[in-house]
Amino acid sequence: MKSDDTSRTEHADDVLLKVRDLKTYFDTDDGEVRAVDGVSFEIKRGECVGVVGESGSGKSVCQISILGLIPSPPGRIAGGEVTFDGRDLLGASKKQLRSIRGNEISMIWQDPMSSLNPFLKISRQLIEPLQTHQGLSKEEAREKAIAMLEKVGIPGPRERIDQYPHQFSGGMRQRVMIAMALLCEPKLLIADEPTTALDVTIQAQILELIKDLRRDLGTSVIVITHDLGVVAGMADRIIVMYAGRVMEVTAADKLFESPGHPYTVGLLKSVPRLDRGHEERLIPIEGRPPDTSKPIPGCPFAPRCAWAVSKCTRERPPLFEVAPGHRSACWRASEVYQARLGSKATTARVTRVEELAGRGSINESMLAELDAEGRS
Amino acid sequence: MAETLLTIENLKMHFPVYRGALVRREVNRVRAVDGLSFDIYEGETLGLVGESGCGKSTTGRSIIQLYRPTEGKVVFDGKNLCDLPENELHPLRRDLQMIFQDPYGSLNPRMTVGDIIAEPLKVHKLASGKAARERVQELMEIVGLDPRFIRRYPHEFSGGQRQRIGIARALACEPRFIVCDEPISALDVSIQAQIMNLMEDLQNEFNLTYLFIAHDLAAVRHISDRIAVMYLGKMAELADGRQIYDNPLHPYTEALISAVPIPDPEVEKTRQRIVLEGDVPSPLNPPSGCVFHTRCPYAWERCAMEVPRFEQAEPGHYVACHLIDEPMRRERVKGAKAGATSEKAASPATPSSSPASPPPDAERSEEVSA
Repeated sequence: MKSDDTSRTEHADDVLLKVRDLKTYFDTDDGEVRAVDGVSFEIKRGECVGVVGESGSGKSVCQISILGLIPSPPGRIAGGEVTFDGRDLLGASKKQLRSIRGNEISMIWQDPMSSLNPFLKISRQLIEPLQTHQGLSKEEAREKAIAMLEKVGIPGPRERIDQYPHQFSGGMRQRVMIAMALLCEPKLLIADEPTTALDVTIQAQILELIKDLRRDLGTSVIVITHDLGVVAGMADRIIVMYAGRVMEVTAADKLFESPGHPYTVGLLKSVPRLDRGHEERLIPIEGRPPDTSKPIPGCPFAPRCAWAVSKCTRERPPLFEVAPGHRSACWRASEVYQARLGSKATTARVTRVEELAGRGSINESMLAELDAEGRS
Repeated sequence: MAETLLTIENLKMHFPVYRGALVRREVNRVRAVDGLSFDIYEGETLGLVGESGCGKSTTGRSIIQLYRPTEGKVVFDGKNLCDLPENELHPLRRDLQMIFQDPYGSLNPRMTVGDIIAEPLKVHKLASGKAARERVQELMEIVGLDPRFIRRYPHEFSGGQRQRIGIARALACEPRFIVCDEPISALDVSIQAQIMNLMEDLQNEFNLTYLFIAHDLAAVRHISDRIAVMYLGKMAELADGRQIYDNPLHPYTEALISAVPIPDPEVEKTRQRIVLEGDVPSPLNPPSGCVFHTRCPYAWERCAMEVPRFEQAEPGHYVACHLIDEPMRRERVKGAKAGATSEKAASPATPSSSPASPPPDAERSEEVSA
């Protein structure tokens, strides 16, 4: 039934990270929270993938699970496979994981203040991974760290390397984090909301920096964010997550042109755009995200979805391929995809299509009629 | 043109910094808001944007006298609020309300929703007992909350619902002006649109005037009629939302707009991003002249010496920038930059971080005159 993987004719060598049916559950007082509930995706070498979702969608937990950093208890990996560069990560020993983390896979966290040790000079924090992972001498490591600080745009790196984290501003601290993450020239960089804590002009600096470094070093990048705008300019592909599941995966420009999932449409139409005036009203997604501590038999988005039919609350939709490389977990994926409700679609058009969708299935001629109506 | 509801003149809010345990003395001042003048029109939404620490929240709070400003005037209904003693100000506070950013911190966890919304009615002696209860239920209905939840506590509600409680409270005594301080930034993306639409509906229904403070420029552009841009306690630019976006006159506005990502890869590909170098200087020790000159790509000698006046450059378009006198400089720098980008692409940008370091003005102005 599932139409993902196997049929794809990728060379195994191109794929750096492969995640299959990953499940991460947390045992809480309220029951078993299914933070990540059967997620599959892959990252190719040199590729930049955006993982988009709201808080609680499991976008961060998913990446943390890959790194084996889920606190257990209460968390546990309940199933799935993670293969990184041909090696199984979920079955790896702590020692093996430690040699991969910070070396082959690095992470940038949202809050640079709490991820740097305030008691240690930057130098010590930068030199340590080089000594442990690459066996460099202290002097070699220091030189390399200084070069990296310079690369991420920290002025006067020779002096600043001996300062403490509090002596850096928010944007500079994030640069230090990035330098630290890139020191061992990782194959994969995971950036978890790298700019959410930063102001917009600093965000632009950091995003440009990640783009430049990716181009120079050929690192694969996963950017986790709630902001579709952040990934629009930098990601090759985008994964949309909701309630611990993958809702849609496709190339970035395809996602914005013709999304295949009603939730993606909702995200696009509920976010104000700077290049649009205030004449156009936003279409909010009514209701709120589901409680993942209760089992959801069907599609988790069904209660908020204008397209939902009775099947949606009963049966979990697999990822359907609506176009080559474009997959959506929706029973009506191909109808949604055909309707072209991307960022170019007007509020009026989306509202009309959703009205029609609520009444029955939508076909090409209905859409053509609608567009003719809209033009006249 | 609509009537002016509030006139703000040379508003200053400085916070003293003290040193010493036995002999406390003022050693410095944080110039959070440093001389703002603008009008707010009846029935409009004035958006106020700027980065963290630029003084936008302080501005909102000083206008409705939650802080008593250090200097300046806030004229409302013919009265200067800054001069009024608390007992004379009290009846006017009915008209000036506020919605807060944090829907968790701004509601008393020990009060029921009913008590929270009724509080302003009690304070202003507008209603009590059954009448108050009925009014609360009406308000809950207006903001889209189920009136049956009147006895519940804030923790039983989601973030979006809590924000609705805060809005109901602000509406309770039928205000004319509401300061909305980052009302949506703590909410999830799918909930933000619900609250923004609610705020728009309420504005139309009750003829409200909003000062909408946010760091999210896209949200501000969506909800506002006019937009004011602040930088380091000063007003950089103020204009109609369209003018601000299509024709930003202040270099800071220009950079700010270019830095906001737009969720459309096609649009993103064609946009020119102006990446500002360095960080916002400290308001304890603001730069001389124009406060933006340390990060401005067009700055020249004059900018470090002379404070630009906040003037009308076009009808309804105010800006504080010396470029207004010499518009050619912008074009020349842009031309020079375009030629240099191909070289620059090879090495990553090295921004100057420390605000104390002397600005590379001299070097830039040479480039300009060359």
